Amino acid sequence: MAYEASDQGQRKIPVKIVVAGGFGAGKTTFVGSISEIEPLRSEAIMTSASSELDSLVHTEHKSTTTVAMDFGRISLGTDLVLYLFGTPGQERYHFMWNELSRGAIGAVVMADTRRLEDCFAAIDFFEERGVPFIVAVNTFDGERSYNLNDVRDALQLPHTVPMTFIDARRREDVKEALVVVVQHALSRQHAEIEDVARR
Amino acid sequence: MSPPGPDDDFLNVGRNNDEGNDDTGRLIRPYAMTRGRTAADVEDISLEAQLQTTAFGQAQSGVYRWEAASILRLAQEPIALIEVAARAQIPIGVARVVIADLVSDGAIAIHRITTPASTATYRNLLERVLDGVRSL
Repeated sequence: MAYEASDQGQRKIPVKIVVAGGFGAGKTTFVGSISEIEPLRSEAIMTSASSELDSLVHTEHKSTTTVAMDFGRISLGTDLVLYLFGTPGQERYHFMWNELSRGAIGAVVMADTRRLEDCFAAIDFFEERGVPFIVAVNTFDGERSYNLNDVRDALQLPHTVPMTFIDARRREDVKEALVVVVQHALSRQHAEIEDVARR
Repeated sequence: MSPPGPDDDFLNVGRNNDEGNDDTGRLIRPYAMTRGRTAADVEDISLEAQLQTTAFGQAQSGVYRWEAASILRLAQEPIALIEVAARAQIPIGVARVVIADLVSDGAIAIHRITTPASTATYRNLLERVLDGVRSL
């Protein structure tokens, strides 16, 4: 397909970062703190076997799930636009993460120390898929009752995974988390190049 | 046709009802719109893919109704698929199907960004993103 847009100007390259975490871990707050638009909510009706969605007859027999996803947008300079996708952290949303992580720069896993287990599934997923991710521990009211090493141990995170405390309501914190995830993606790139060179 | 405001998505439905004609075949339930299309046609439109209404689409906007009309209005400036779906208040899957139809009609163009072919190009992209985020 080679249709050209009516307006040749303003072509921006879209890039994306996934923000995953359990319910109430601060995903939407994170997105809202830095997005240039009010975070928007989009719904996906996912079928359990969407690859077979080839006739209307079949669709009647599929189990469907509706997933709400919050996203925000940030223009970077004049030629890039960054989308942040906040996605639920439970394992049953894996099908959604597949799509979200395809082509993503990386992911921020939001951890809530009161419910650390809520982010296990997201960590497993990004580890398995080789998506560069960082873990951001949301401090809410500035309370840092744990140290990052304890959290790292509890999550059994390798030292190569960056961790940071953030208050998702603070734009500077969110910006810093984004810097860390992009830097991490870059260092992974360097590592891969060295790997290739060694072979 | 007035430009869409943030809160008038619901109003669009009633307004479009009085416009155009009925023979576009689009006045139907969302999933009836798949018209037997295979998923492969539409699944490769990524959520962040940038859409824009073409000059042809602008000229033809009167013949489209409902979701298609909303999408054409929303995409007058480049906009991501997911943002179109959210602002038109339609599920992403439905938006994909309608957009695929509009693309084959020539009313919508998708700015297809090819994934950087080389590691060096990708690294360059990441560096630009990093610079961009730092200067936010």
